[in-house]
Amino acid sequence: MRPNCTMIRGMSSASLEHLPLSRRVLGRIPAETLGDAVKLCNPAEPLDPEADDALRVELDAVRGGNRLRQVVRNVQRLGAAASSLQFVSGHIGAGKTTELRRLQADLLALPVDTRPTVLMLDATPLVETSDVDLEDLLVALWRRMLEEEIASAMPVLKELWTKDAKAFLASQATGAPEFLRGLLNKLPEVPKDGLSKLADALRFQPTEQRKALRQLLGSMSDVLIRGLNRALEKIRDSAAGPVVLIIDNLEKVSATRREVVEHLYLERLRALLELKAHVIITAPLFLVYSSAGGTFSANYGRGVTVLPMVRVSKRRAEGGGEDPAGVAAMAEVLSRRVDFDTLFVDGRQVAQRISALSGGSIRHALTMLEGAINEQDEPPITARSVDVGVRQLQEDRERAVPQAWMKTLAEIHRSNRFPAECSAETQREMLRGLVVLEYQNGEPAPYFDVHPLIVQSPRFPRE
Amino acid sequence: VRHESIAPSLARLSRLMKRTAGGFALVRVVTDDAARGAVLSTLKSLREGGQALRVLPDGAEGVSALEGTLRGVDGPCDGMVVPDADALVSFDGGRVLDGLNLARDRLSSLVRGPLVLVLSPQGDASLAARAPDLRDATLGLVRVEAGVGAAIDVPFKHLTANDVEVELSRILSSEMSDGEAVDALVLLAKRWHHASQLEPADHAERDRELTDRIAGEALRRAVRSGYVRGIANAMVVRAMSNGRRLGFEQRRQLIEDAIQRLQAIGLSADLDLLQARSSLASVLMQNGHVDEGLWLFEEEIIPAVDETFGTEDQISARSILATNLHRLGRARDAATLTLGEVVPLARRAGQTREEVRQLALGAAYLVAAARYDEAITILCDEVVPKARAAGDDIDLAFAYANLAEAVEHRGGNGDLSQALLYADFAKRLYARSGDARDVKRMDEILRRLAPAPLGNRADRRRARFSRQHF
Repeated sequence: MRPNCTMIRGMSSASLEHLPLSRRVLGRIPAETLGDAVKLCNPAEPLDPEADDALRVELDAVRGGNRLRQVVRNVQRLGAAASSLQFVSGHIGAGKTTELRRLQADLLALPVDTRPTVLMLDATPLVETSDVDLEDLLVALWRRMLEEEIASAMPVLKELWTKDAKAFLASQATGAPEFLRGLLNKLPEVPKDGLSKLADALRFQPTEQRKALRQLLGSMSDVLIRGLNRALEKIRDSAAGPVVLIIDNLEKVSATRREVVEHLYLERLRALLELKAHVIITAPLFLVYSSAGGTFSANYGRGVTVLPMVRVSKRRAEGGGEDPAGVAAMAEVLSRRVDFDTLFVDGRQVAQRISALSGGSIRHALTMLEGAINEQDEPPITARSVDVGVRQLQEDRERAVPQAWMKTLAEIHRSNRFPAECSAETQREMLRGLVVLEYQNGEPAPYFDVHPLIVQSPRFPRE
Repeated sequence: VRHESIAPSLARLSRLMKRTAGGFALVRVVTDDAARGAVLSTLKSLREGGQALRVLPDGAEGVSALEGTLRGVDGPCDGMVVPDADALVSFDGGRVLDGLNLARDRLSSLVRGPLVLVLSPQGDASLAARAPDLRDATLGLVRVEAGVGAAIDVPFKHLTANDVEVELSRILSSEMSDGEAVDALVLLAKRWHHASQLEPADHAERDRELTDRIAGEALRRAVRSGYVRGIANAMVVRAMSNGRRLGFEQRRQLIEDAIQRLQAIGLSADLDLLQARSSLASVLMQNGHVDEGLWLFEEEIIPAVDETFGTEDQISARSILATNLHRLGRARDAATLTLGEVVPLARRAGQTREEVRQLALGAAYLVAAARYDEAITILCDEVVPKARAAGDDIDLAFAYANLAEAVEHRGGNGDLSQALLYADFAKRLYARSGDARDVKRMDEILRRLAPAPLGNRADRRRARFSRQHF
């Protein structure tokens, strides 16, 4: 049997060429040259749980605990006999992908008798069309299973493709629009190829044609789910533990079409409850902060697990100001990537300063570092260059904040809450733009604070 | 166009590109039109992984090319520059931008090098609002804003200081009345002021002294004869030509005084009054009060001119606004105004020569905004044939000079030798029309383009062709 771990980023073979971040530098880690430092500060790159271990820092203590650990426990305790559908969300750049990869590693570290088979699906190729629905996901899951070539599942999937799915689709060709007729009549015998054709059509055809195909696939969604379930059963028969399907990056589905996204998450994805597996899906944060947020619990039996920012500022009720533990943890994240003593005049103090100003956003901290480093041709990086790096990001963030928000932001900074008169739309915009950040200190209720770079701006109202 | 003020930002951009070489990095370069050419030149001169970065076309074509890359059908591609990333926001309702935003974590598997988005400040703000997630995945943000557009030549035969001195002597020794002499002096001062603005700073300072001397004489005579309109006009010229010495507040005060004097003698819809207001708007725009100045132009001056005066003045008011926009580093807006409003005005009035000049100016603004392909199309398809048909050497020379610059900066295969040819044409035409100043300028451009003498057979053939035709 193949190993029960799959680590897939994207569906194209091109992505397999992707090197973990720590393997892209020439020198030692943490970086001792400015060139390596810039490479390790790329905020677009999630960490690989194994290869990038040297860069990882345990942040649970400053994020209100290991929230994904609850998901692991759930899977462990429900076991193979049950199924579940769980949602994970968080701010942009909060490290969702990194944490999901870690969740996968945690699941695979469970005792052998409960160790699950984990399939990870990167939904990015699906959501790129900004028009995704249940049928796209079902096709992608089928394809994913076939690509993984799990020995026990392959014969089932092949048989179902030929007997049920392909036959059903071919029978629908008569009377279908012309483009569909061509597609359905020429579906390849090899299931993987056939599903690739369907997936490509769902991604690349014009909207109307996608809709027509989706409608057709919708009428056979129970066939697709039944097929997946038979394959899942086979996997479970041959392995001890349950099957866990992790669908990452689905939360990126376009926020500009909110009603469509709500419908997908709150209505259509319910069909995935029928799968005999534990399904973990990323959800957009804006859904959590809308009236739809409560519907998650009602529809799925549990709420959404939110990954908060690293807590670099304390609640006002606890005195406010910087949280030394959070700042130190963030500084450690940066110090794992950059050798501050070698590259910066002020050494680790720079890491502390940037961490406090980042608001707990690792991406923002890395961006400020990059800005400082690229101010100079040669090390050591001076305090002036650090100021420039900070100011650049500050100006960038500040430009996105309308003056009309300033009074509300001052109130949030004072009370750690959104004022009652602040509309849900504005709240979502503030959170989506990382103008307001959500923190956890171990209690169930989160608290909010304004990004430190905004608080420091001359436009922010002083108390 | 190189501005010293943007050199540190360009150096930062070069460092960033060098240090991210070999891997994916999303880079946003926010630049105004005045610095856009320098940014694109810098990016074109950089080599990533031994290869020059691929620069996508401007506008929808570039967006479509990027969309193809995002689909990843042909596998991963090398690093690239999107020189007109503003089009991402406007193209097809932002569909491709949404796609880029959603694919942000997958870009490193699709692009094996930097993906550089060159945006205007307005475009960057729109991108931040529509795709904040993409903005947060940016590794490098470089702002390159010159704030001031480099002087653009005008397609007119240039005055020399000697011409002005001769004309000044003629006016002063004539038997004109004080009123007539004041009007003639103000006109001469204005012409010389505009001409001197095209000169390098040190030269222009000496020219300004001459302007001030003429305007001072006009003011003295106007006061002596109690000629209020003349006093006001001379005050406006002094305010405009003494920018450094007087400072913003004093200049503003001087022009506002002039406006009050003109209003006090009962003028309202009067050309001098509108010109004074247009000078005030220009001073406001040049000193950080952009919105106030723009408002004056758009809400007061241009509507008033359109209502009361003819095509020539309508063109003039818009041209002044276009010049101001360009000086603010907004060459693209200047081009839009010139090509979208001024050229049609001239065309409707049947003023062919003015139409050609404005087309040429519009193309020059496009060159300043680094929109080389659009500029080249206008110059080749419209300006050159029309100027040639009209037999106007100055217009033709101006068109070729701009073509040389556009083609040189576009930097495609064979563009350098084409630029040499155009610059050589322009020089010969300027020489034929006796414009020594521009001949000297073209000589400098030719030296820059071909430091060594024209040597190979193809070059000699081109030079021979050029000599035969011009």
